[in-house]
Amino acid sequence: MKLLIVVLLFAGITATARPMVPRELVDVDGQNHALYDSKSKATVLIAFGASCPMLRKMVPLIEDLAIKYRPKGVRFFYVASTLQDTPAELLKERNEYKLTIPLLLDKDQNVLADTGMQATTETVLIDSTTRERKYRGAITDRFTYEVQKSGRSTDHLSVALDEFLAGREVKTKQTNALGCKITTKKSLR
Amino acid sequence: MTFLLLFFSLVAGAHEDEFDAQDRLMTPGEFRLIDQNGVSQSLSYYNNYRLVLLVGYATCAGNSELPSDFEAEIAKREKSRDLKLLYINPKPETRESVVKAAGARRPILMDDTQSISRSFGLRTSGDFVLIDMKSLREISRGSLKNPACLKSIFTSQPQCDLTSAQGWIENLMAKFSPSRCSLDVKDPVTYTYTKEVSPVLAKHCVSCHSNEDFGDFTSFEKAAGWSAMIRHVLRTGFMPPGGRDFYQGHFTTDMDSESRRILLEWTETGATRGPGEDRLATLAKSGKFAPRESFHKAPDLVFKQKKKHIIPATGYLEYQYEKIAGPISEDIYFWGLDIKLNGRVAHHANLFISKVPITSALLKEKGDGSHVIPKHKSRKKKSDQHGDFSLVDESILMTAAKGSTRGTFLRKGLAYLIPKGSYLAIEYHYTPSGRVEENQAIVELFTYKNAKRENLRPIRRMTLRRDRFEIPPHEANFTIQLSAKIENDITVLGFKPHMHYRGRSVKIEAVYPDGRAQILLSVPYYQMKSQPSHVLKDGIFLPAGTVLRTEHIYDNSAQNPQNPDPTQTVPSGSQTYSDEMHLPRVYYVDGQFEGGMMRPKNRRHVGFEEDL
Repeated sequence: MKLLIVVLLFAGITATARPMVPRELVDVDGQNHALYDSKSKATVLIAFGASCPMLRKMVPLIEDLAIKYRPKGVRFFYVASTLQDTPAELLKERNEYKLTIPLLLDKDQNVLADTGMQATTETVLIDSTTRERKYRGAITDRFTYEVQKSGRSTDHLSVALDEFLAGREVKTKQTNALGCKITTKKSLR
Repeated sequence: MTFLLLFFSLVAGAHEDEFDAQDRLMTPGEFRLIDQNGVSQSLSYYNNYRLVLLVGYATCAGNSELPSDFEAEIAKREKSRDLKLLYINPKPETRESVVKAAGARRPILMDDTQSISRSFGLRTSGDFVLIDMKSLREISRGSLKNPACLKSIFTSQPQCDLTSAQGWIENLMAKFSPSRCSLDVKDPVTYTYTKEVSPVLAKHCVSCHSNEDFGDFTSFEKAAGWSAMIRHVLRTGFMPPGGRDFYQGHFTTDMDSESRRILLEWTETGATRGPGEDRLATLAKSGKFAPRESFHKAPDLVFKQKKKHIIPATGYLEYQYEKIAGPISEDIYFWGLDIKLNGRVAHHANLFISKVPITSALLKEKGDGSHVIPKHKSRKKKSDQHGDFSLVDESILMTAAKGSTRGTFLRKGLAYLIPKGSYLAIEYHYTPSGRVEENQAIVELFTYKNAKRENLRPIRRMTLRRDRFEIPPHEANFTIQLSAKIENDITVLGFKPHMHYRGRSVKIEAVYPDGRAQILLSVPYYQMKSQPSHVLKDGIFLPAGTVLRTEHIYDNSAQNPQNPDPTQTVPSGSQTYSDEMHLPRVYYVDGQFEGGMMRPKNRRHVGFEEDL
């Protein structure tokens, strides 16, 4: 019995993978998108919201990342889980900032809950085959609320993508992302 | 039974991966509070330490100081950047009483809304939370009263574990029995949006937060949606803007701890709506938050910038200068000024008076091709070990900035003056917004047409300007203290201190002829991104002979989150990324003046609570 307990405890502790739930979301144009397409290598989700100055500043950087990594089998999606943004407002934001990455609506916050993202600009890198998270956190440490750094910086998402696509283990799995905090439905009465 | 429990725990465990496990240990994270010495302290400032130890503190009898052995061990670990100790005091005690009981040496953070202490679970003096600063996750928590828990601080064990004891702790414990007292941390009140929250939003927030550029709080649905961010910016001191210490002086934009507490507890208790009409939404629908035109009559003079500026989506831009008007044909005395510009990209725009036309010849070229702001006329030049400084009158009429004031409407009898023959111009500092933008400013003046000139009191702006200083790389505490004697009676009406990204704090103090000292303004959390004018509710009279003392502290270390590059030597100059400025600006009028500077119905300073 004792041995069984030890084995079970060990098994419990070493259970490390929680696959993301397969989902199909609608974008601001009404198109459906399956989040984790097994034909691709990886999926990158970026928490999105309208009127967030820090996210707006990062849009050109994010769009450039999509251009760079799409040919390597990586799919990019903005995911809007913010409660205060209507689809019309998100569409306006998409058009004003000329977003090319699909902007998906997550009004029920299922993707938010599943991935554990907490603020806009936060990103999750997901293995399309296993649907496991490989990296979660900041896209880069170049931006803070206050200023865009001119000195040395780490582009965390690029580093994680390069490691993952090369078949290596992602070394830094989590960082803390700054951005506009997303209110969750469950926190409201 | 044991088997079943373990089986269920295994099943639960199988659905939790390392990301989920980390989430479970996540602490409330970043916060910012002012300590008993008036210094702004944030958790993230200590992210170059491995651990931060937060300890609940109150000045209850016999508990003012921790044992010297404990302090000595902490000091050793602080020196090696292993651990930083921060005390937090949520009791409504004055700073003076805390300094009296515990001294000024170790920071004790004054948690006036109790939000930080409550979220970290600090209920009794000596309660602690140990935080790993890389992941912002909790390592252990407990009470310093409990020897096992105290050990866990130094052994970083996840539980209070006696087996890894260290000899010195046991010796310490033998004599360590601090009395514990309640920190009186109250449970949050369930405030509602319709009753308590919307008036606070109306008074303090919606003059800016009523549009898509800054987040819109003008309905329950919007405000509730933003509630997590409202909570975050209040806890981290980003808002209200300006970083002023509300403990010092009385200003038009004071946000008392009660108002902050209402918003914080509302977000903490589920951001409920409450019964009744959403009056903020009704006001928004009626156009109350539309641009200023609905509040003031038409301007008397309107100047439009001739050249349109195109601002690219990304990149770094040099300052740009644009003539707005001039030469002015006769003296203009005016009480109101508004600038309409593209607030998404105008990081700041200085509207200034120039005695000569704005041409490229006016702008002094630096070696690298960038420009220097035109020199201001010096009154008296002094020198100290850092270089020259001078008390100067400034020619800038108003600084319009992102998220800050774009209009100034003076109290009746006060006036700005643009002298005959001079020019109006704007100095722009643009920061790209992520998309291509345009800007073409419109300046509107509301003039005194029939008032007798001798009845008007011109507002002046002076500063103790410091030139020729250099901040070394990685210097965290570069301090410039200056003083100058006021030669004539004046009444101070407000302040607009200016530094760049290395600026950390500003203090302006008056030392009266009788020797009495008074802090006029304290900004312990200076932020380059928001530099509002700090307007006094009532002017402060400074008799001739009063000495104005200023202190600016600069932080060129990597711990300053605003710092673009801590490896650079930062000289005095006008470029925000590479240079620093020292301008403790003061608004004043000559002689005595009763009351404040602004019109009571100045939209940008009063808000909308009267309308609710």
